Amino acid sequence: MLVNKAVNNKNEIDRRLDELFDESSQHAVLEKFGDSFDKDPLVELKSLLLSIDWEINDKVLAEYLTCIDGLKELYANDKIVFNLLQILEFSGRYIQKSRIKAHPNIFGILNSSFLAIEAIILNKKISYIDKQNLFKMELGKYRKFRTLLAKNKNAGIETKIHKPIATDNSKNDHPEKAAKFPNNPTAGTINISEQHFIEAINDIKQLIISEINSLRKEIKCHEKHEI
Amino acid sequence: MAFLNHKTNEIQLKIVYYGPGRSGKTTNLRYIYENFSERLNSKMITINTEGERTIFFDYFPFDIGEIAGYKVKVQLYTVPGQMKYKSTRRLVLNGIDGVVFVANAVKSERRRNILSLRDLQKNLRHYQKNIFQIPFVFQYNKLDLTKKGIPLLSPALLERDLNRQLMRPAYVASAIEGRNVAATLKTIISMTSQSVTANLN
Repeated sequence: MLVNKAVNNKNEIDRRLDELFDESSQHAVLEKFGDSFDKDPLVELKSLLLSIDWEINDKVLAEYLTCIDGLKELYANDKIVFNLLQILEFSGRYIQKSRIKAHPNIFGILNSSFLAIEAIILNKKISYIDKQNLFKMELGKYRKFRTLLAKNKNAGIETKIHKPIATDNSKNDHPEKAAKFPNNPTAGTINISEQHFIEAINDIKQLIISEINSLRKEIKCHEKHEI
Repeated sequence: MAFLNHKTNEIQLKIVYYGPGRSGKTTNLRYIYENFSERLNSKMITINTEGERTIFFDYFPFDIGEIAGYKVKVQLYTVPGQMKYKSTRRLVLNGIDGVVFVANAVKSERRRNILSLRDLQKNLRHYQKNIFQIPFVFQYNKLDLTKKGIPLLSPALLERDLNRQLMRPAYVASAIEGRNVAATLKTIISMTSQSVTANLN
């Protein structure tokens, strides 16, 4: 009913506008442009993704992020597409930050998220559940990637902690070397960080011991009261 | 949302012609005024011009009759295109219902068209309007200049630069000759009134 009313209103408006702006006597040529032009909103994004895959540079990344911004505004009402675009945005920002050091798996995330968006946008008949499943799958991949990154980062920190101890041992292996370079700045840093590390461990040990002792006392008190 | 007067049962649709300086916004309004003012029974008001250039805005109001029980009044505005009149441009956009973006098809103006579109997007955001949701028509103006041998941007390139994501109706036009001026106006009024009546429903 509402649809019919809207169609009637539209026809009425168009009829009246034709009357008001009748140009039949002025030989106006109406050229509505655009039917032949490829108006797929993802064309630009696709070409930018291919460019990023080929070469990471400032210009392409800036264009890529601007393009995502535009698409986010275009699909502001479609939460699923919007969230998928956010994955693409975060991935883009990660590449922008890490450049050539970017983890190679990120390109898989980019392609896979793009394909999910394309599948949703191009398939008008796709159900909401299918859209949701696609999104969950992509989000899962992205989270897995983040976990992998975090693990790598932690591994990096561990190596940094272990490295000085190893170097320290080697110093003991070659006492003459250590004596030769007594003011070696690296060696100084190594000793300090190791010392801090040992102190921190001792602090934690003390804390655990005192906590256990107080817990024991509390348990004993409870037992006495119960008796 | 369009201004709605329940007492007088009147809707006012505010349509703004936006675009870079010298793209032909005022020429569009002047053509409409010169050719249809008798039928429209209205006058065009140009406020503060510096020679041929708009430094405040042009204003052209007219009625298009009754729709869905409401009298519909259309108000056409232009903005000053020059970069320095930024605040006036933003001010004119207040309460906007529809946009005609008049792009200059002259080759050297390519960058200014893009910058002006970005400026529009930013100014619309200021009023919580989304460029993808507001009724919007592109007009690629100054086609007549090919006759003078001036190099022009091809419609395909203009579409690629400006309309790739927006995907709005676009007209190639010559405002000075009146080519597609009325067509642009009819399309934007039709789109705007549909959007307003849909909101009313």
